[in-house]
Amino acid sequence: MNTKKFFILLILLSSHFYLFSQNDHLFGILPSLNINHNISGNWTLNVKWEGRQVYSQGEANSEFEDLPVYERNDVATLISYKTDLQQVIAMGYLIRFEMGELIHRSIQQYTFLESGYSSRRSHRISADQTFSKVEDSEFRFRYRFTIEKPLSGVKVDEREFYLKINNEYLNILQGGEYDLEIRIVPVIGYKFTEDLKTETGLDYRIDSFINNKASHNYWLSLSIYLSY
Amino acid sequence: MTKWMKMITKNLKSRSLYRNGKFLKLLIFILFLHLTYNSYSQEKLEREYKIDESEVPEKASNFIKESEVDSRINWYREESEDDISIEAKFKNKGKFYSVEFSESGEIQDIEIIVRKKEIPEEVWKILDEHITEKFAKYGIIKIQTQFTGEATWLLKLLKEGITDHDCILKYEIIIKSQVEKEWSKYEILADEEGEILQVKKIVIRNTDNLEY
Repeated sequence: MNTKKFFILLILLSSHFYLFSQNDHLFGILPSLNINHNISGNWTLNVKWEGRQVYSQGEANSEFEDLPVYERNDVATLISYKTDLQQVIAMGYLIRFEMGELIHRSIQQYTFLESGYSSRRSHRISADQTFSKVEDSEFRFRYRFTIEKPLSGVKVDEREFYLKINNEYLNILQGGEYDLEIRIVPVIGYKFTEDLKTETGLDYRIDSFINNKASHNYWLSLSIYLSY
Repeated sequence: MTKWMKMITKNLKSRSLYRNGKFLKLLIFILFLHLTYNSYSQEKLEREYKIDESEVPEKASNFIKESEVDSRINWYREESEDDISIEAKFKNKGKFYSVEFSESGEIQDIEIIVRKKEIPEEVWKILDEHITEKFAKYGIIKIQTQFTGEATWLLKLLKEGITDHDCILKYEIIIKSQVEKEWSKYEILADEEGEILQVKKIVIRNTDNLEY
């Protein structure tokens, strides 16, 4: 690593630690298991479990009394239909178990997939509607861009590492108020076989920065993708 | 049902399993299981990885030097169960080239990514008719011209361009089509006249981690 690259990395890390030292943040782990099953032809069933364990929170953030805390479990089921090799539409339902509460969410999404010379990209547009007894209904409209690049060669082969970056923008409407959440998720993936991959990295989320003090969430993302 | 869900969430609220880091250990254990399973599996393995020029057979390296290609060359080694090949990939005058060599450095072929309009109209007409006979509707993903023949011919082709050559020309066309209500990719190999020589179904790479 040359000196210039080292200093850029140092500045980026310092700014992250600066943000982290600010009051409004959450830090934790975000494990997920994604199971895909081809039902027939162009139809696929996706079942996803995602957990969330919080390890620390900022001084101004008193969301949790006692840490660490296992905050939530999400179970989502989506049915997708490939309208083309590059286009997939999906819809489904998510149930969230969060600190004794039950939350429901319906999901609709459209994904456009592209393959470049040495990368794969996807553009995902999705909408979801969340309902619970304790909070106002929440409506979100999201756009996510993903790029996947092999760390060796021009395509990700079996038993190879790859880099994947997600960048998502979430427009949120809840109780008559609008908010924007931005997510940046750089992960390192490993492809065991065509049907089994794991990904580990940082899931950084920022929200409430339009009208209030920004809230920063840092998650250690651990994902398994399994297909059969 | 609601009672059952409440019971689960109540148990989760006790958090003892997670507070002691057991949860993380469980995840690591699952990953370890996958690794173990994978190392014992006997599945077909194909790998392509970047190599340094110093690892390239001298014959292959000299061939590229003699071609006087003034571009950054990326070298790859492709390993499959029955074959090992060395590939030089580069962009020259706006086109993507792939020059394939055997493990010992003997030239095998040159592939160049081209556009449909670069194929002679009369050849494309024949090719399109033959493809439509097999696939009612199709979309083009990629077209490559593939040149094989004597090393001296291939060297001349690389040096002087593709208009005047003695090489054997073939077309490799990757298409997408829906057959029996399933979208898939197909690789079509055709000769210089547009006659189809081979059709192969391509295994679609999983896109689950790009969708969810």
